[in-house]
Amino acid sequence: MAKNDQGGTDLSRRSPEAKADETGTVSRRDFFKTVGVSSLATSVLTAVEAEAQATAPRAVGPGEVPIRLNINGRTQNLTVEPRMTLLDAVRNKLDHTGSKRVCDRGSCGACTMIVDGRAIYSCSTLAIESQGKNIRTVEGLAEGTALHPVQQAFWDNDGLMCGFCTPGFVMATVALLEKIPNPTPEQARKHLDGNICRCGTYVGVLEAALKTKGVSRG
Amino acid sequence: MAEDMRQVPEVRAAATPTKHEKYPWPEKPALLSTSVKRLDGPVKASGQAKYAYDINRHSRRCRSGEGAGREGGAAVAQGR
Repeated sequence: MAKNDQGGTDLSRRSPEAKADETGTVSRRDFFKTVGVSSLATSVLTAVEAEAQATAPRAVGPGEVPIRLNINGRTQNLTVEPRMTLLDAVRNKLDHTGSKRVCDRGSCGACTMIVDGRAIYSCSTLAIESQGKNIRTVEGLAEGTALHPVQQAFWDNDGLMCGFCTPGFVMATVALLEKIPNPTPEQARKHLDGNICRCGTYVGVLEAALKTKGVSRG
Repeated sequence: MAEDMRQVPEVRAAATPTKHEKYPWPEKPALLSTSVKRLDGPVKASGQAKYAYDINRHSRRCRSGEGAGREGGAAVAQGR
């Protein structure tokens, strides 16, 4: 603030803002500054929001939405809630009950499917995020009455008892053999340790995995 | 206690199957020491076996519209 030689305040040389502060009113300059900043901030925020909306995934739901899944080489159109898992969609919407829901938390492996060549827990995968991917279930392995080599090996080597975990083991074994055609026992154990069998048929399952021949990449 | 007193005498006896008149022991056993495949192996290994859980699917019949809620009751009048 400008001061005169006597130490007092020179009112004639003070800025309009200072005058406005002393008088408690809003000057015309302040008013236009405020309006300018506000409109600028509003325009910037609007642009940021528009950009975020353009890049963010489209929100769907909570009701059922149509999706398209490629399961065992066939395109299936179905409507599911966005929260529905791939396992529930396949079992309840498509009636493919080969894959089982046991633990429902991704630890037992009875729901194992092969998605884009990888064995996954379908109970922990959303159906809506599986669109556009190549999904394979245990129903797609056998050709008519001819069993897949892995299925035949499970039968030959007594790798099943009650059979509830068997589809998951079969899919995990297929994924293993497509990745490693001739696995060592250690490799087979490592790749199959995501599956659990309460009957305790691990010896037969391991023999089936090691003795199976002729599995090509799916 | 002496070592031999722990053994049951019948266990130490030699295996001498008695000849049953009505069901004699076969000369060439057909099942013992042979690998018999399970009859239900193919349907179980191919995922075609139907369990009770596959037929009576609770979540298919009655599914809540709420993400997390407590079941308060079931309106079955229209189903009768």
